[in-house]
Order: sequence, then structure tokens, then C-alpha cells
Amino acid sequence: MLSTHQLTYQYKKGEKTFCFPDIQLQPKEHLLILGKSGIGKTTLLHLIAGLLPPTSGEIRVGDVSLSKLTFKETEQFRGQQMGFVFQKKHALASLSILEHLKTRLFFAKKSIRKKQIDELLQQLDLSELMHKKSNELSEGQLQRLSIALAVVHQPKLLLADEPTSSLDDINCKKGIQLLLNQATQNQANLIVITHDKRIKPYFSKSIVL
Amino acid sequence: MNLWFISIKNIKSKPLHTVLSVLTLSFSLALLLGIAQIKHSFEQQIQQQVQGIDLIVGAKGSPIQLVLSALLHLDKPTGNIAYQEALKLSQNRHIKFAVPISYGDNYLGYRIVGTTPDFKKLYNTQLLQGTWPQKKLEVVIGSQVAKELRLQLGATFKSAHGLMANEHHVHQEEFTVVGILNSTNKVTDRLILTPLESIWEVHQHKEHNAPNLGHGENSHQQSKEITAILIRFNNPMALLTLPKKINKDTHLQAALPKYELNKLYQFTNIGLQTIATIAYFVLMIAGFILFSSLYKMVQERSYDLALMRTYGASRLQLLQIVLYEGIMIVSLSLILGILFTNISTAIFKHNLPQHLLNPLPLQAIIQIGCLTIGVTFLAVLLAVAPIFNLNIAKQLNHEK
Repeated sequence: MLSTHQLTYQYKKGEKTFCFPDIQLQPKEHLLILGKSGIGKTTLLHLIAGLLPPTSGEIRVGDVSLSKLTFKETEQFRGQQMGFVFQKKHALASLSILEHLKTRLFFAKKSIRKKQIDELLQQLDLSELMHKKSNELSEGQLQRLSIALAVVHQPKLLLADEPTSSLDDINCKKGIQLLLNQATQNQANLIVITHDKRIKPYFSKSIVL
Repeated sequence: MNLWFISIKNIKSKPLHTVLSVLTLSFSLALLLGIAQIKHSFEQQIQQQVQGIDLIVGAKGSPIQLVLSALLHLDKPTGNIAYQEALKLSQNRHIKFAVPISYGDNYLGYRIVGTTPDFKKLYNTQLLQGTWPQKKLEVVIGSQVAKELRLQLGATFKSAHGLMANEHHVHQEEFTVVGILNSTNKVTDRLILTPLESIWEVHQHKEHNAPNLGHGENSHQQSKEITAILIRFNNPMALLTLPKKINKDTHLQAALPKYELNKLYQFTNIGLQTIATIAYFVLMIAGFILFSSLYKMVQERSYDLALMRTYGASRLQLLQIVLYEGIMIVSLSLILGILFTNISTAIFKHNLPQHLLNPLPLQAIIQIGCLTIGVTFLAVLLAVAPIFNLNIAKQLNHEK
């Protein structure tokens, strides 16, 4: 469950103020946010993630109002309740896939269950690569890893920033389907922001900034 | 899964930087420890060896040489003095002990010293086994000699002329071990002691062409000679008058061991200081390399750090990751540094016939260790500064 109310954000005083439409998501509802670059898509995502404090307005995730949380609480809430897929396909270079997933769970203070990780890796077709480091992975494999990292701790909210724009059509389709599947399995809200029109058919709900 | 694991993985992912950091750190550490050990050994030697010996009288020459040869048994003797004259001098009422010594021969590098039973009182040393030599050609050996040469009571050997082991001038007389001394950490540990008469016996019929190294090698044996006298006063006042008197009125030389060794220490200290300065400089460079290694991780991997923040990692945890890297590198360096020092000490020990290097005191290790740890923490502190200012949103937005 997610709701935003009259969100605005201003990077610096005197600069342009971004105003965002209100968002209401019921459980299991997914949202596509479309818009040209520079329109503040990523800013909106960072506001929802609590990475940036809104200049005005309110964000509620579940029954929690983000602005009421302290810095530390926000940090933990983000780590435990949210999962991210970023446009940049990048993972911690020093860790293998398996170690990386364990690290993700460790920081979210969630218990590490081997069986659950195995299942997830199976679903994302990463089982055979689980001891490989990120620099040994292909673009598509990296993308699947970032999806795994976004859902391994079973978050309530899944935020994806341009998850498909650097991918070819086949990987794009695979990627978005995996994202939707994982979101549904974890009963999480998925919000995808993108300028990539290819994924529009997958969403019933979308807004344009 | 814990933070240590992530730190270890980080260290492993940049082997060159890690190896460089560890090598430079441990090298500077080994240098500093080595210098500390030499300094400490030197001070110890002065303290220990001089204890109870106020004055050394020998043939004229360099006073430092006289002290080094008669007290530490490191240098060649300055020459010989007449035994009669030594006996006369010993009558002085300010003198508590006057112990004649005569040296110039060795067995496998360990010096054979002719002396009187007073020697053991002067050095306050006791027998571990056997008896004090009663007859000539009987010897009592220091603990180190016994250990290194594996000599036991009843063992016999032939002495060699000179102060280094050689096969060219071996005396015919056989010495017999009748006693072994307790370990005292003094020079006695590495000496072979025998009555003065043994030395005279070995050399009386000799007329070979070896260069005169100074002991009683005299064809006119009626004038028996010794090399030096070790003296302890019973009255500190004598310290002021007697040395002057001897130096002025006789053709003997009186040297104050404490004064001479301190002078020598001052000289060598200059050299040690220079090496120490270099070592500190290397330590500084090591700190800088460590800093650059950690800073590289913080700077180049700021995206990684931002990523971990989105996983729920706190700043403190990121700091810990970097700190643990530092801790691991410094611990490894400490171990290696101490190992280096011990190995080089062991090698030096083998090259030196005499046991001169004392084991390094814990205090010095702690001091130098703390310095190294301090440098590491400074490097960590400087390197982690960007973590405090890490703007996650900005980092994640940076697209390459």
C-alpha cells in the first residue's frame, strides 16, 4: 500500500520546483510512471524511497508516514520494506551472486534461508551462476541479479528506475515479466518509472508526468 | 554473513594495493623493531657487562679497544702487561677485587680466558655442573658455549691461536671441561675460563710466526704476562684518583668501562637515529599507501556504498567495513614485521660468533605496534571522511 499527497521537491532554492501527482496504490497494485527525461521521474522515486526529503507533501507506505521517521528509522525501513532495481546494472564487484544476496539480507536484518535463496535463483535462472562475481556476468544476468537483490528480502514496495531501457527487446520482455512475477509472489506494490514505452502493455495502471 | 566477511572480500578484490600496504607497513615495522632491538641490546650490554667492574687496566692504546676486548671480548687486545706489575697494582687499598685476565686463543670462535678464581666473584656467576678448574688445562665453560658446541663435562678440545676459529694455528695441549657455568646473560656465557697457568703453558714453548696478538706469548717465560686486569673498587673515591694516577705514573692504561661504552653508544646512536628516521619515513609512506587503498575503495566504489545504503546499511556499518580492512592489514603487517625482525635476528645470530642481540622487550614491541596502529587509524579516518557526505540519491543518479 502506498499513497502520496501533494508532493513537491526543490533541489536548490530559486531552482525549478517539481510537483508530482498524487499516487494511490492498493495492495498488489502496480504502477507505471512514464515521462521524458528531466521531468523528475527519478526524483519522485527517490522521494518515495526516502532517499530525498520532500519539500512539502506526505508519503505513506503501509501505515507508516515516511516524514515521521528519524534518519536511522528511514534507513532501516528502506532496507527492510523496499527493494530497488536501478537503471545502472551494477553489483558489488567483490562478492559472488550468493554472497551478494546474503549481504542484502544481512543489511536488512533478515534471516538467511538457504532454501528461499535457492528457489529465487532458480526462478531467475541464476542457480548455476551463484558463485560467479558480478564482473563475470552478462547484461541480462546482471539484470536478473538486480531483480533478485530487489526481492530477496521480501519487501512491501518494489521500486524500479528505468529497469529495461538499456536492454534489447527480448531481455526487456523477460525482465519486466520477472519483475511483475516477483512483485506478485511477494505481494508487493511495484512502481516502474521509465521512458521506455515497450513495457506499457504490462501495466493496467499508469500515469504520465 | 557479517561485516568482516565483506571487508575480507574487499581486500581480496584489490590484491596489489593490499600487498603493497602490508609490505611497506611490515617493512617499516621490521626496521623500527630492528633498531629498537639493537639499541636495547646495546644499552643492556652496557648495563649488564659493566656491572661491578669499575676499571680496566691494560696495555697502552685505545681505551675503547681495551674495554671492548677485556670486557665484552669483541676486539683484539691492546697488548700485554707484566704480571708482576699487575700484582703490584692490585695491592692498592682502594681495590676490592683485581682479577687478571689473559686471552688471545679460541676454540671454534669462543674465547679462552685465563684468569683466577676471583673472576667468578667479580661476575657473580655460579657453577651449574662440575667444579672450578683446579689445575692448568682444565676449563669451565659458559652456558652458551656448552649449548652451542654441545660440550659436556669431561670433553676435551685443542685451542686455536687468535680470536677467530681457524685451523692453521692449533695448539697441541688438550683442554678438559671440568665445569659448566650458570647462564647469566653476561659475557661469561660465551667464554671458556681456565687458570692463568694454562695460557702460559700453551704458549711457553711456542715460537711460531703468527702475528703477536698480545697474550703471554713470550719466549722469556720468567716475565709472565697477562692482557688486562678487571678491577672493582671498595671506595668510589678511588674512581677519581686511581685512573689518573695509573695513566700518568705507569706505562699501563686505565679505562673506565662505563664511560667508554657510553661514548661508543653516543657514536653509534647517530647512525641508528638516521636509520630510525628512514624507518619513520617508510612508515609514513606505508600509511599513505594504506590511505590511498582505502580511499580508492571509498571513492571508486561510492556507488557500491550507496547501493549498500539502500540495502539498509548504516553509515556506521560502512565505516566498520573500511575500519576492518585497516585492522586486517595492520594485523597482518604486525605479524609479518615481527616475523621479519625475528628471522633477521636469527640470521645475524648465526653470523656473529657471540651472542650480542638480546631479545626485544615487550615494551618496545608495544610502543612500535601502537605507532603503527595509530598510523593505520589515521589513514582509515582520512579515508572514510567521504562516507559521511555520501549522497545516496546523487550517487545512484550518476550514470556511467
